[in-house]
Amino acid sequence: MARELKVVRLPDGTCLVERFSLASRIDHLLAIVLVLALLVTGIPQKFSDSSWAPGFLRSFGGLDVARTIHRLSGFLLAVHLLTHLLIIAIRKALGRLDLTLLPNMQDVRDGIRTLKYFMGHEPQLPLYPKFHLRQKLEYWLIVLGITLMILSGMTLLFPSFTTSMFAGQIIPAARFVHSDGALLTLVLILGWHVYSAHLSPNVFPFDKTIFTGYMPADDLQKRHGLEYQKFLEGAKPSAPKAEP
Amino acid sequence: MSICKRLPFLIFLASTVSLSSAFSADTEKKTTPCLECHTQSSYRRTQFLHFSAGESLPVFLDRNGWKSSVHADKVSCTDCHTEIRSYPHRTVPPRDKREFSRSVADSCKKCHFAHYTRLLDSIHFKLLAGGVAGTPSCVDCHGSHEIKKADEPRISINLRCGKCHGHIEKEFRNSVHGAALVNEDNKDVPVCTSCHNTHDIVDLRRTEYKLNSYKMCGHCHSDQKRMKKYGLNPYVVTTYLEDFHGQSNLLYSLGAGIPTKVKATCTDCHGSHNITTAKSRDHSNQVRENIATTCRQCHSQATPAFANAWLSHYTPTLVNAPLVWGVKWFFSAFNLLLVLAILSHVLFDLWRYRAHRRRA
Repeated sequence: MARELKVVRLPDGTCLVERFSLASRIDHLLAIVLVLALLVTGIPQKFSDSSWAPGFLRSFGGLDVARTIHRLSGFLLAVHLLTHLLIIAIRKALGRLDLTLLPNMQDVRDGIRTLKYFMGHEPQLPLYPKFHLRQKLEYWLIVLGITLMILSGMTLLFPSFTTSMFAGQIIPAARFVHSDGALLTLVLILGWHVYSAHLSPNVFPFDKTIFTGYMPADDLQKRHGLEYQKFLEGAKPSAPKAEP
Repeated sequence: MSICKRLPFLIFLASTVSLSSAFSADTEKKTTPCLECHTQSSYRRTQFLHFSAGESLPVFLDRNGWKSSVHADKVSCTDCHTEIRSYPHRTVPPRDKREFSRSVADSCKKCHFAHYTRLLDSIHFKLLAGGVAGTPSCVDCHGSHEIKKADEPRISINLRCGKCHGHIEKEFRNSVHGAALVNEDNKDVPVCTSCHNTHDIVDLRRTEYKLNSYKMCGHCHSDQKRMKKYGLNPYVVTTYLEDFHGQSNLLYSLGAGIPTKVKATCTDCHGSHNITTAKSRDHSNQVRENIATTCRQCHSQATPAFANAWLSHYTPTLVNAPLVWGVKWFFSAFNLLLVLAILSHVLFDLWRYRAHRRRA
C-alpha cells in the first residue's frame, strides 16, 4: 500500500529513517517563508496604535508597499494551500500515500493516556504512530486557520464583490476573523508548533527532521514507537516469508 | 563670570521694566501732535494722500476709534508710519493703496514677530510670494487704527474670513455648527480658525491636512463632557480608527509612509462647512446615502449593502450587528482557550521531563 521507508546509514553507524519526502520538505519551507512574510507585514497593521508599528512599516517602504507584499504573499499562500491539498489528493488517488494525518479513535485513546501520563498516572507515553493526536490537531488547526485567513482576506480584498452576495456585515465580521485569526495562527505556530519542534527539552535546540527529511532511528523509537515497529518490519521484508 | 553670562538677560529685564513704565506717557507725548491735525473733520474731505497709480486716501483719523483701540496707549503713530520722519512730511507715496497698506502693515512684526513667522508658513504668504497682492495682510483682518481683540464676538472671526471667502462663510452659517454660532454665540462650536489655524493657515491641498483632519474633529468629538452636553456619541473617533480607513490614516499620520490617496475621513461622509446633524432620522438617512455616494468615489461597484459594511460609529452588539458580535466573541473565547491549552501543554511537558530526569 504505502511506499517503503527509505533508510540511510551514516558512517558512524547511526541509522536515519525517512519521515518527510522532498516535496513535503519544500512544502514546509515555502509555508514558513510565506507565513513569516504575512506576519511581519500584517501584525503591525493589526497593532496600528502601537509605537513601533509605523516605523516598522516604514522599513518596508511604507504601509502601501507592506500591503502589496502582504497581498502578494497571501495570494501565493492560497496557491500553496491548494497545491498542497491537490498533491495529497493525487497521491492518494495513485495509491502512493497513507493519510497518516487523519485522526482516528486510536488517537483519542492515545490522547487520554497521554493526559494521564502528564498528570503522573501513567509510567510512560503510549507508542505513537507516525503522527500523534497533538501533531494532527496542530496540522489541522493550522490548515483551518490558514483557510480562514485566506477566505477572510479575500473578502476584505474584494469588498464590492463579497457584498454583492452577502450583507454588509460580512466586511467587519471578516475584519475580526482576519485580525483575531492571525493572532490564533501566530499563537498556534509560536506557542505550540515552535515549542514542540524547538524549545521542548526533548528536542532542544532543534528537531531537524522537517528540513533533512530523516529522523535518527533511536529518536523514532522513543517518539513514534509504532512507526518504528513498521520501520523494523519494512527493514526485514523477508521475515514474513521465512514463516511458513 | 556668571554676571557676564547673565548680562544680556539683565539688560533685557531692565529695559522692559523701564520701557513699560515710560511707555504710556511717552506715547501720549508722541501722538498728540499728529492727532492735532489728522483728527480734524475737515481732513476727511480736504487732505488726501495721492498714489502714483491715481488712487487717493483721506489722511483723516477718527479720534474715538483710535482711543478705543488696544494700541491707543501703547503705540505711537510713527511706530507704524515709519516713513514719516519730519514736518512737513516728505514721503514718496507708494504706487497704490494696497502697496501702502502692505508697507505700513510690515511694521506689525516689530512687536508681533511670532505671529509674523507663523504667517510665513501660511498659504496666504505662499500666494503673496507668488505675486497675488490681494492676499490678506495683518490690517485686513485686524483693522488698522481701531484694532480690537480678535475673537470678540467669535463670529467676527468668520466675518473677517468671509470678506474674501464669502460663499464658504454663508455655507457654514447653515451648518449645525454655524447656526449655533450665529444664533447663540455657542462657545463649543468651531469657527474658521479652529480647523484652518489662525496665522499659519494651511494649504488644503497638502496630503497631511486631510490625513490629520480627523484629529481636528476628534478634538471636540471625543471630548466626553462636551459630547454628553449635546447627547452625541463620544466614540466616533475611536470607532473610526478601528475601521480599515481610520486605521490606515492613523498609520500614515504616524509616519508609515505617504499615501497615494488618503483613505475616507470624517469630511468625506459628513461634509465640512455644510455639516448637518445626524441625530434626526431624516438626516441620518441622508448621511447613509452620502456614505454610499462617498464609497463609490473609490469603490465604483459599491452597493447599499457595501455601504452597510460601515457600522455607523457603533461598536458591534448582538442587536445592531449579530454576525460581527458573534465572530468577535467566538474568537475571544477560542483564543483564550487555545492559549490556556498551549500553556498547560508546555508546563506539563516540562514537568514530566523533569520527573523523568530525576528517575533516571
